[in-house]
Amino acid sequence: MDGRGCEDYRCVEVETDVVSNTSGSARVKLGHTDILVGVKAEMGTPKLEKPNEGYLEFFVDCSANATPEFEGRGGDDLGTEIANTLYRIFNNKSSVDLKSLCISPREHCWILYVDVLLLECGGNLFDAISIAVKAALFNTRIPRVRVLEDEEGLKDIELSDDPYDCIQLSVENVPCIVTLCKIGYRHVVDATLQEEACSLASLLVSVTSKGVVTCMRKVGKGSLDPESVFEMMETSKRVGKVLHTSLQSVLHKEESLGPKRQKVGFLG
Amino acid sequence: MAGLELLSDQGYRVDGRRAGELRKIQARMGVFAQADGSAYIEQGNTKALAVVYGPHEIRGSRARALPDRALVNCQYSSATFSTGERKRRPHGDRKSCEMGLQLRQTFEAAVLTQLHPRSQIDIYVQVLQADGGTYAACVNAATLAVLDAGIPMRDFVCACSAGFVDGTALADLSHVEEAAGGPQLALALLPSSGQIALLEMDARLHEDQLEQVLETAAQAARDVHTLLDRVVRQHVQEASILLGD
Repeated sequence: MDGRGCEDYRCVEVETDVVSNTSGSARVKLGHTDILVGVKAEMGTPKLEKPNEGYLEFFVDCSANATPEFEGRGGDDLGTEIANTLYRIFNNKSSVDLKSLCISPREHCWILYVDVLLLECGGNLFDAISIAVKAALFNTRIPRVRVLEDEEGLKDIELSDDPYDCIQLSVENVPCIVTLCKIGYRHVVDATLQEEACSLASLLVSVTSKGVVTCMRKVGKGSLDPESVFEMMETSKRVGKVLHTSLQSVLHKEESLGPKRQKVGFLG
Repeated sequence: MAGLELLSDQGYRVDGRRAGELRKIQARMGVFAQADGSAYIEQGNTKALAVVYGPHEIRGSRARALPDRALVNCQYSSATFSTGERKRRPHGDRKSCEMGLQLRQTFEAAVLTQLHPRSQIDIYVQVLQADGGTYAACVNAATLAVLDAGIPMRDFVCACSAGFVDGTALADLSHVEEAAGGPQLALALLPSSGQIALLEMDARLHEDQLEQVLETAAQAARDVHTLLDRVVRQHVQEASILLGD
């Protein structure tokens, strides 16, 4: 309807390091959809079944800014649905290297609290959120700590004095979600609000940069027949690879501008 | 408080400002296209977003509709990553509810509600980064958003916080100065008439010093008004250029 092809994304704007008292943050604007993600790294105890790893906690807040129906508790349902989807796609071993988040096994580890704030809803929420989460994780800087052990065996954690001495997470294998909406007999990538209202069913596929599918989910009232599911998966792998390469190049370009770059945020 | 001097002997504060000096304010109107009105403001390191929907029909129970004026509904929400320590709930806790009620009181005084009977105006404020003076930043952002939505108001509503340290009144407190525990005053002013829309004070302050603190806050609010006025004029100028007038 707006002149795009079936596999074209709208213009995406990504900016990292928008909020300064977080470990990492990113803002993504995809058409009329506006998402802000903040990552805070805190120390805690590892989970009992995985004592050598840290973990990620997701929280999605659908702000009333997006639509008045989200006032009070109205946005909680959508928020929990999105958070559960994020937990599922990050549930496998290869997305984020959780072992690097461990400080001392069974005692201390880094917990990354990823908080997603939905500011404006213009269709295609899941894609925008996954792009923002990937950008924010790329921007996250976790301070380097050392564990000192004294004679009695008591452990003390020491933070390094240099504020720029940090470890960065590798986001090579972090997947992105590609949502395909079925409209009539064709499927469409990156649907706007009006296109989503016309579609009966959509398929959420989470794809890594190498084209590996990590998770798949069907949403919507209608049904999909199996052939179209296979077609949609092929399309999503193709589109996903292109999305990942362009996102990586933009993030690296932004990082290479260094700390002196002009931060625009919402003022631009 | 040992070790932290809020006001040095030469009259400089922790971040290098003078006693009555405001932090740098940058603002923008019309941030979101889908809302009726929206604005973003940065006061130093405090960042706030305000969005206005309305006037529209009352949502929920029709019984709440007022026959002669519009209902003003405000929600204050601060992002979980906005403060140094992560917050667990963005809104719904006591402080957010109280702030929402204060914002509602402020804007009921300023918006010409008699022009829209039986309808509702929603003002939603989101704090993205909190570094002191969140109420003031929210009020300033909400004023710009209401103006962006085209809802008629009696006057601008400009707000500023003020405190009192070592016999001097400080304007526009940052988080460090608020946490030090001295008296804090939050003032929302309608600049042209000098009327006060909201006045709130915490901690103890001698009544002789109240006038000094109030005057500092009022002057700071008038300075904010000059800045906001400039922002609005610039926005209108840009909009009229785009429309081709």
